[in-house]
Amino acid sequence: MSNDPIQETLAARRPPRLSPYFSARLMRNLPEPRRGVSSRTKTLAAVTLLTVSLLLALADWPQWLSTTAILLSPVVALAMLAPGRIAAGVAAICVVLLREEH
Amino acid sequence: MTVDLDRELIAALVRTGDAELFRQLVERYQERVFRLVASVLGPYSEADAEEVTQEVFLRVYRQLKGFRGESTFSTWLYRVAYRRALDRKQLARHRLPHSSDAALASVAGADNPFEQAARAQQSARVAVCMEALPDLYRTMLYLRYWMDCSVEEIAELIGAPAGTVKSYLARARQRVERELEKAGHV
Repeated sequence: MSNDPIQETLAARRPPRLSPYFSARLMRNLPEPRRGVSSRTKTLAAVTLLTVSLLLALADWPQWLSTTAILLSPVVALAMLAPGRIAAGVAAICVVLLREEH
Repeated sequence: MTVDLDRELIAALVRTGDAELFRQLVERYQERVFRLVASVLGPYSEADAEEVTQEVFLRVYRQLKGFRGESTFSTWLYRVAYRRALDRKQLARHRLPHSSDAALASVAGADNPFEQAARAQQSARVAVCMEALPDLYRTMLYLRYWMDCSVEEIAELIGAPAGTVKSYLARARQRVERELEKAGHV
């Protein structure tokens, strides 16, 4: 019997080896990088739209600018496809419409 | 310097998202991470080691943007690997060593049937004692005597000084030997 049972027992088992295809398999499993506009950009676009609409409402700017904002707001808001952002787009439309009322 | 190279690679990877840079990181560390994971899982769950190693690198890839560099990349990577392997070990607790498996491994090459039987018994007993050790002790013993890692390599993987590793190894061995003595196997 050996003087070192731990060593003897463990040495009897061959250590496992990593497959040579390990990294290739891993690279195939990597998540795809995100494509398209980031969420941050969309939110920024909605806020910008709202600000521009507010400015249009407060200042006595030409009619065509207000009309452009009215046309663009729902398109942009729907493109953002998120409740919060749609709300921002709708708010922008409301501001411009209010301005039109005055 | 490895640390500087890692830092440069990670910065470039986060900036460009070039997966080829990640491959370089993986190929540099895959063997060491695999040895650590296999040692945490032990010989009775070694089939899971490669899968867990994959999971470790995937997790690291996803979290790379959040890596703040407070520790070196390798320390962070080994910590993720150790924790992930321990989680898997918890799930695989029911797969404790059974004597036939241990016996098959230990009797290979023995001529005398009495010697074979004695070895098989000893092997099974050692395996049970090893599995009863605290996770860190058991991992260190497997790294040292199964994976044949040097004390310095273990120190790097575990994130402890070499002196600490030596004393932990000695304590782990004492525990196993004490248990074997109790059972009358030494």
